[in-house]
Amino acid sequence: MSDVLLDVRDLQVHFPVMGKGVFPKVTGHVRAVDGVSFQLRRGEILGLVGESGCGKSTTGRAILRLIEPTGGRVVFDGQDVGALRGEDLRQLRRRMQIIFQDPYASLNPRMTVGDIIAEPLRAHGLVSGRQALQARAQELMTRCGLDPKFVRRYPHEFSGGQRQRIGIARALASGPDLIVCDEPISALDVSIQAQILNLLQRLARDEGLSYVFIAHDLAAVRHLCDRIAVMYLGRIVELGTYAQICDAPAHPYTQALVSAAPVPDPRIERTRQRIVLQGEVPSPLSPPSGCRFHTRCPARQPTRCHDEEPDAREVRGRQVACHWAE
Amino acid sequence: MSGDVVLQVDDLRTHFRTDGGLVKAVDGVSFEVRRGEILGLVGESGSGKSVTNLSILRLVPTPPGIHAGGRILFDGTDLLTVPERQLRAYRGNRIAMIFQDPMTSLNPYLRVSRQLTEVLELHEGLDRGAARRRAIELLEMVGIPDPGGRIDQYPHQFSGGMRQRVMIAMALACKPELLLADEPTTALDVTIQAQILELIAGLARELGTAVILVTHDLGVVAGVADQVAVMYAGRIVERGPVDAVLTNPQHPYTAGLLASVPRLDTRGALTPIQGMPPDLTRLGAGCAFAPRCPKAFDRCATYPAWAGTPARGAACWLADGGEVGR
Amino acid sequence: MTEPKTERAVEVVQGTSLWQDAWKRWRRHRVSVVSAVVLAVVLVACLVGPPIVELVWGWTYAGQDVALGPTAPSLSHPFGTDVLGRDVLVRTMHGGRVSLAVAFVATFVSLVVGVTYGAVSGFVGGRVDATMMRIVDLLLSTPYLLLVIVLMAVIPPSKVSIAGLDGSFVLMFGALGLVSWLVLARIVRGQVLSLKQREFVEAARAIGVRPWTILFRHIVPNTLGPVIVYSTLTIPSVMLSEAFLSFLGLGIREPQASWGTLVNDGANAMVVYPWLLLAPGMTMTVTLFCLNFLGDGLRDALDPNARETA
Repeated sequence: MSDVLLDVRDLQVHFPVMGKGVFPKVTGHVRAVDGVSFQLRRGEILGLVGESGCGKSTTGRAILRLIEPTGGRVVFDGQDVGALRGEDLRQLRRRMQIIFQDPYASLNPRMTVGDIIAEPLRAHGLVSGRQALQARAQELMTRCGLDPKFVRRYPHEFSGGQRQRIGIARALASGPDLIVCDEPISALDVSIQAQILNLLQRLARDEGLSYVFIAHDLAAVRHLCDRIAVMYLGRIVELGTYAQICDAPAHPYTQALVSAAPVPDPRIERTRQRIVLQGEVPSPLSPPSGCRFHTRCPARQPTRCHDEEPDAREVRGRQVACHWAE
Repeated sequence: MSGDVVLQVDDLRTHFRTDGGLVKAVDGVSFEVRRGEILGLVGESGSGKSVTNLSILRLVPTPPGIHAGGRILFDGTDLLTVPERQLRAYRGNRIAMIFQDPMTSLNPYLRVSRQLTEVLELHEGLDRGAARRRAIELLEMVGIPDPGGRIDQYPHQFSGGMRQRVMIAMALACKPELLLADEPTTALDVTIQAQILELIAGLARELGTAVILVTHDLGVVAGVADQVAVMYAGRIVERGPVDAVLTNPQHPYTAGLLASVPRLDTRGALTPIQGMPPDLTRLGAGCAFAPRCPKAFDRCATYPAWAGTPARGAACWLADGGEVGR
Repeated sequence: MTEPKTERAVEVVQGTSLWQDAWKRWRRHRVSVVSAVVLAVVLVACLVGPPIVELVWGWTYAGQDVALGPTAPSLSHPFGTDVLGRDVLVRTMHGGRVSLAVAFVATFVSLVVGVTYGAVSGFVGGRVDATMMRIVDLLLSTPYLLLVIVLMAVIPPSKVSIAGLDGSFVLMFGALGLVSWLVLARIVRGQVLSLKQREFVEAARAIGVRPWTILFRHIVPNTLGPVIVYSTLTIPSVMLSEAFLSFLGLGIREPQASWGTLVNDGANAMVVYPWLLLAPGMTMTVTLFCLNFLGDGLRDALDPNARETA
């Protein structure tokens, strides 16, 4: 058994943009994900961070083929996910799960919590019989910190944090190896976020799960993840351990991101140097030439950043896609 | 009243009549803001922080809202009792407001130029040309590149961060004495958040605007606020200068919040606050935080008296200047 | 709120489903509830009225008493009699059976066809969706009255008589059913398109739920609110169409009666024998009113947000 659970190679997701008119033609492509590569080891938690529109959520969904990738390969436990069809793909879903950002939208409002949690079991025929399904759902609820006596309640009778626990229980039901967590705490109240983070951490440890943890909050990612990949405009700009990324970032964009993340301590806040980036994130419809970050980069140098796209190279033990980082 | 004080809120009570019973969203809140000072109003959803802010300009819809008591003194007049017409003269002129989602307060059918000049013509009595010149100046001030060209665009042509800047420009149009900012950066990316917070802090510093910054993010408060009021279940539970509150919290709730936020600068275990925010229709006579409080004891069955001065203190039986938590 | 039947180690708390919530909200909508009661009374009267009257007084909808002729409402004939001496009350009740049957059956057909068609179209998407919706557009853009009139004029009722049902009856069902599902299919398709994007549907896909299970367990139940509301408003419109077609002489034929034909006959004799128009006319108006109020109440109950923003 290989140590690598998930191998993503040069993943691309381009969405066609249609022109107007009666017979619309494709006028361009939004390059939401444009050549993303990383590996995830068994039991590892990898953080995927970046600002809105950087393609992190699309990457997560493309790994699960909830969105069809337009290029590259996703290999899960030796199986090429992109080559699977119909029933084979459906079978694979038992082992790859997802937790969503919005605990309100991701649960069917007309189903009881028990039915929601037991759905993966039913879909894959893992458990049969009403009684057995309910008992299993109750067991999963207990594991996720929910009172099992509420198994016949409906989602709207729960708070946001509890709903997120329901979503987690559902993801766990089929016994997956990998869970893509798509901003699972950003819709929750501050005091509840820590509860969910701790739950995810405990589950990963107890069940040997691997996560791709997608977030925009660097602090939460640092808390949970073993390694962190920073994305900008559809590409990974830096990939390293949590300490490398958060304490000594090498890519100018990571540096800006780290410097902008607030720390709840006014004494530290006063001493911090904030790198304020100029301008806005360019449109992924026509990303800048050369290095995609060069339009906003405080460390850009004439012509090379503009003309030549930097490849990922090793700098101080982590992967960085920048010509000058050292 | 000290000449410095711009706004003084006294025992404000805003309630809502709902199907589930009377919700005391704001129940006896008092604070003041001085010229050039930024007050961070911190709390989770349902704590009453946004309702407090809306109450100041009487923007809470009645019904279902009820102004159940208190005074809001602005420049010697009680905003809760002045006629609607006088209040309108304050809104957008001497008191400005910015919201989390700028799209809700910008008219999508009008060009930005029209929306900006309207305020200037109405409140400042400028003529068309002068108003337009001033509007361009304002856009430049809030950091919108090419303001002369962009002023004639529609709101949807601006990105989220740029829209928030437009909102701030509108809010600043009449050099308000008081700015009410309700989660102004929550919908924005961290690098943009840093820019907007910097902008707001600059206003307070340079124009002497008093700012009430409603947020759930302790990091944001640590970065820009001078004073902090922590709200829980409709009341202020702790109040003081930002350094004192965040580094030496007196109330177990504040301490709990700080211990449950993952931090970028360290990686310790998170200690979440147990349980869930209370149901506001079922508040008893005691401390609302007691059911979740690790230090609760029998006295918590009656609501604690304020310990300390109005400027620095907490509503907790254990907060007699001694430390709790940390 | 524990269920006594499930006596197991863990007590189970019963939840309140959205349907139960809606039911609670609806019961607070007094006009709607009163309308439902009135409708129930009308419905029961139409169903059991004729046999009881026949049993006790011996009058039927077709039984004539030419010697008696038209008489004004009295104790023995509360709604009066028509020119052939037929009891108007019985005829109104009988007509109600026909009108309500046409309305309910046509609505039910439109419900089944419309929901399935719209759901499949929206769910499959792409070319299938485009083709299916163009068909709907085509049918919607033909003047439906013309379609029905041609249909009913061309096909002799006797040819389509099914299982002893009068041919004009069958034609009416067919004609109204043919057109009334179109709008519903569009509504459902729109709902499905937006539901397809919702995260809980994506969650079901991620779990590995089979596509048709996703459609019928996750998507269709969530479209039913607007569908039910639309249906309660379809019933009156179908009833009016039936009345209109019968009024034109294209619908139910003598000695069968529907509210439409009764109103038609009554209108001809309006000046001399006003009760012939008033009795069926008022019954029909009250029924239509009640259906509309019921629909209003259901809409408020099933879609509380729509009321708040309205």
